[in-house]
Amino acid sequence: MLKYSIRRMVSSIPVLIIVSMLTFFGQQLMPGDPLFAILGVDPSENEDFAANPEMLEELRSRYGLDQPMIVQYANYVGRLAQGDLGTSLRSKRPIIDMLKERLPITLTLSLATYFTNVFIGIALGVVAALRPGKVDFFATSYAVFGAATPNFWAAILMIVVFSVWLGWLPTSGWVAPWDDFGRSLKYLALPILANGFFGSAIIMRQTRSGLMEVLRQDYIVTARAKGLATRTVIMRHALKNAMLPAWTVIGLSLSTLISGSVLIERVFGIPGIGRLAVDAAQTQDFPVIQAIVIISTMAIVLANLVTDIVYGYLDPRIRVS
Amino acid sequence: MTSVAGADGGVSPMVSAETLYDMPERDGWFRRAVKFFSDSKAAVSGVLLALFVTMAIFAPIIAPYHYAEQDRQASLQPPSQEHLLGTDRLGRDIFSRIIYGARISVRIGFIAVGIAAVIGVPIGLVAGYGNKWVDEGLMRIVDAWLAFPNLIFLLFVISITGPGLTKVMIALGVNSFPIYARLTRGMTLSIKEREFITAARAMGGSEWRILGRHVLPNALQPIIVQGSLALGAAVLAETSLSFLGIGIGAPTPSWGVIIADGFPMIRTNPWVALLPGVAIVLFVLSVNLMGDRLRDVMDPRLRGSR
Repeated sequence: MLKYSIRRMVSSIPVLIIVSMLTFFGQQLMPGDPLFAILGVDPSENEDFAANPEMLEELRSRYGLDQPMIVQYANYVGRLAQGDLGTSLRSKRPIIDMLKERLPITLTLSLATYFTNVFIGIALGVVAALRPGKVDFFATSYAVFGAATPNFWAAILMIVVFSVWLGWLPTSGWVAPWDDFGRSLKYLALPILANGFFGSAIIMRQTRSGLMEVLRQDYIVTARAKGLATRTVIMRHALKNAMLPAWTVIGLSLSTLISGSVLIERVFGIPGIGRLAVDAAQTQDFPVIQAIVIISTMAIVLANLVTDIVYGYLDPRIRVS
Repeated sequence: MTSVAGADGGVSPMVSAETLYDMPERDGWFRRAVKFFSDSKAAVSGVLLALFVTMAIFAPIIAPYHYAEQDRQASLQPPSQEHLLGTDRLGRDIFSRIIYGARISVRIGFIAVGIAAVIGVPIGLVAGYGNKWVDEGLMRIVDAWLAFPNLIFLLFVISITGPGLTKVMIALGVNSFPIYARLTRGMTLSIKEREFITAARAMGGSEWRILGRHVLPNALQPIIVQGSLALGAAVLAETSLSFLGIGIGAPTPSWGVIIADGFPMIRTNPWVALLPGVAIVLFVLSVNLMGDRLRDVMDPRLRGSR
């Protein structure tokens, strides 16, 4: 198990290297002085710099911009490793501080959505597999529509129905659970449901087909023949094995979730990382986008790693191959 | 099948007249089309898709108004006889804008999928056919690409290239090429072990010729299936970008742009934002169902894999 885990960890290193290269060369492709991105001030428009060209030269050599590309790349990776993500061109603040403020918000929203998805997806999948006919038809339709509906539109639809027409929930805004838990639930409900529409549909599909496959196996017939209650057969015998393929989908859905939260935060006016990414893209604040790409990709690489290791634990056959 | 003794005394298989007669005739295209659409879901989605494509091609003829035609007197009207689906803030006819929107979205979808396949398929062919190092190197890049969250990656690319219709199409294509690379690589790995490849090589065919003339045509069916399934995803990604106001500029009526226009007024005039979404859902739904059907017909091994 340990050997398998280490092997998986090592194999995610090239991915991280390629991501760092891509973001680095993306920066090189940007028009304008690279000092701009580091200082947050455009040197060609700044009077102090115009008066003192030596100062510019000194800064260039301090940041290694006079070095060959490969050295610059090494410096870039070194700065990343120290947690220095650069400075925002617009707010002139260190990006790491901006992310720190927003990360708890996006994380809360994403984790809440994630668990809701897994719960709805598995529950619907089980019900659909056990009750062919109307229930299955309803659940399958949910999955088909879920895969075709853009989550931002689902969010708008829910706002119109639950906030504007019924007046049950607020249309937008954010209250942190650690400030006022009861109120925060009201603000979280619609974003979670809207963002989870797509994700839970995929998990539902996978659980359903996995369970239907398993229910045909001999050991399920045996368990039933022993006189075990249906609930026990499903929970103890069937679901455990049926969830193996679904587990991969659950791990992979994090990527979808991060993309989804960008749109959901925009619709509900939630001040998270997704909102920051959109603002940065609109204002061409490249260092911020770059930092968000790195952070979110690292989160996904980590999630995939955990998924793989847990999968190896759940299904020992994987470890060998 | 009966066996007859050949001139050299060996036994060679020969197909008798009766067996030939029994062999099913290869269906003509019409018969195959009828079979394809005998599935009710395929039939419904086929009709819907045909409708969307017609809308896209004949938008200027079908649409009662031009997409940018403003009538300030008639701003934000609910659906009526004059304006089937009402008007937006600037008094533009929403029905007409959705019809023109089909043009943008359908085109972006097809071209983005095309770009992704054009990048991904050759990479997959080379990775699957080349030596271990080439394969490892290319596949690591593909893996890294898959680790990017789609929308964040698109924001990243567009913040480098700047907005615009062509740039969005390229960004979408560049974003989703890994699926094709992986799929093609897998197909190539299995095809290259087959006998007809050995035969082609024995006949002195160059490696590139073998790749292009023998491997690629045999890997094509799953690639086409994947392309049809990816079309819906491309359209969803494009509408998401346009909704965020990144990508396609305001006067162009992409479905996402129309929703973004209507979004600030959902309290008073919800239909402006909601109606274009119905078009998106129907379009993506029919593309997905069509892709499922194509997969079942062309590549039964993949059934239920999505």
